[in-house]
Amino acid sequence: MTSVPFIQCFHVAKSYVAGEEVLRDANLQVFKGEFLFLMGPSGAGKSTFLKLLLGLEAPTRGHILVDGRNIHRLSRKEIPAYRRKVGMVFQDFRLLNQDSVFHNVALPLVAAGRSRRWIRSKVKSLLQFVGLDGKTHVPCCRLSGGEQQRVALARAVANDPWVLLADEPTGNLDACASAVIMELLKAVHARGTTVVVATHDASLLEHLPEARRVHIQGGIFYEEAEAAAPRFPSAMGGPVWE
Amino acid sequence: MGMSHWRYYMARALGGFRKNPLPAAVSVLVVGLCLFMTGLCSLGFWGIYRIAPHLLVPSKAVIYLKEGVSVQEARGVQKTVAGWPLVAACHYKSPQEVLEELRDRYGGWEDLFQGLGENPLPPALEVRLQVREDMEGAMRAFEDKAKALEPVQDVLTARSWSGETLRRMRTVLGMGLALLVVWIACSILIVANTVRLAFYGRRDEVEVLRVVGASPSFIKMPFYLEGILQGVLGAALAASLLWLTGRMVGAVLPPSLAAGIWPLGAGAWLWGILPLAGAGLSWLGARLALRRLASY
Repeated sequence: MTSVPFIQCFHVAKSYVAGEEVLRDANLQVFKGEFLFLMGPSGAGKSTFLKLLLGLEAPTRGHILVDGRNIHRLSRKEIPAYRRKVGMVFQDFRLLNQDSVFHNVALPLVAAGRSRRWIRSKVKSLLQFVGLDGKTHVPCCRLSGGEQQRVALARAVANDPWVLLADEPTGNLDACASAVIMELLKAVHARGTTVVVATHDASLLEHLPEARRVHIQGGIFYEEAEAAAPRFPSAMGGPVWE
Repeated sequence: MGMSHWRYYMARALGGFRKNPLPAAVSVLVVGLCLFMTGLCSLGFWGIYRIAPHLLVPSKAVIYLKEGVSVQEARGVQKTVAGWPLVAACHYKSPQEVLEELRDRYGGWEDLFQGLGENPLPPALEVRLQVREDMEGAMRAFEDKAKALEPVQDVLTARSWSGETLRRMRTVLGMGLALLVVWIACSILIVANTVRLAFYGRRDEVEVLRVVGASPSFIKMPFYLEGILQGVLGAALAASLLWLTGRMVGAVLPPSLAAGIWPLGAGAWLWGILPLAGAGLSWLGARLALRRLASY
């Protein structure tokens, strides 16, 4: 872990409807190689924050720096390259259901312009990593939820991203499948990737007790110790990064 | 752009056809009909523009020579006039021939000719003019030029009538061109709407592509190809219909007239240029549809 924050959020606010801010004054620093749980109830703004990190949405106010660059000032040409360096896993998997496991995992590699031979070899190793090498040509719609999430995870790490964002990755899975996904996330983290998992499920913390925990309340981030205190920002010593 | 890109684009474009066969088929059909109408308008109006002046515009003129002009002088004038660029043909008519012609034309008025002792009519030159864009002006220039010749008494043309006819023809041609533009615009809009529908129908897929870092061109290209494929298939349909129409025209009209107004002998025109035009139009349609979609 280096001393320079890899992800820096400064006074980030996001509202979809005027006067209703999902994120109000979100400040956060994430270091390279960290594993961070972003905790909060549904509607707290976890998914919105991950979308901002991926550059799918733009903040209403504030700045987000990743690896020292303000991601919302990236040019149209730079955005796809940036997104290839930030993998994302969703609660609802977001796979191309009629396509095979191979095609889904190969998609980011095809988009990145990799050669066919390279793609074949990379997809093979990715599917071995997630334990689906026996289902290469099976359409995703025929897989179980846990298997689909493993495909989504393989796709998210296909381009060896700096950061892996997971939005309620176990939200649609049973305990057993959830454990498998958490083990895979730990394995991705062990390879040096920064991992941010947004979840409302406190039981996930048991899989990685040493991971950093940040809570989101009222559109503001708090470290777990602060979040346990009374729910008034002024009484909690301010946002995390300060 | 690697080969795998193009394989992916083609697979996605064909996949779009397979996933939504009905909208794709309807689009091909409607684009085909629009292109057929476009082709019909172009060929029809082109044919009318080529043939109609020859059928409708009186391109004859008569040069009356002065009394007492010798046959030799008349032949000299004929030779001069025949050399002018506007003149297609020039025939000398003796006073006797002119009188015979008048008798033929006014057969019911024999009394008119009975009192005539000596033939009072002058010799004349019957001139056939080439049809020009500015027929009225050309005829006026012809009249002035002919009247300037010493042995010429008078010149008769259908100047004003020809001008009016050509003006009306130009109006019809303008309307034809406007109709052509409407059909072309229809084709473009139909492809645009089909591509837009396909895009919205595959929004989830587009969202996935954005998440995995696909560039806008990577996202849009399969939709472009799908639109172009529709255009080419529609154009092939239109070419078949036009070919059939040409055969029908050929069967109904005399061969010389059919060849003049319906140049369908040139198969390359139909099967080569029309699909290219279809591809071009549908590319425009797809561009129109995708201009604001897949934005970042």
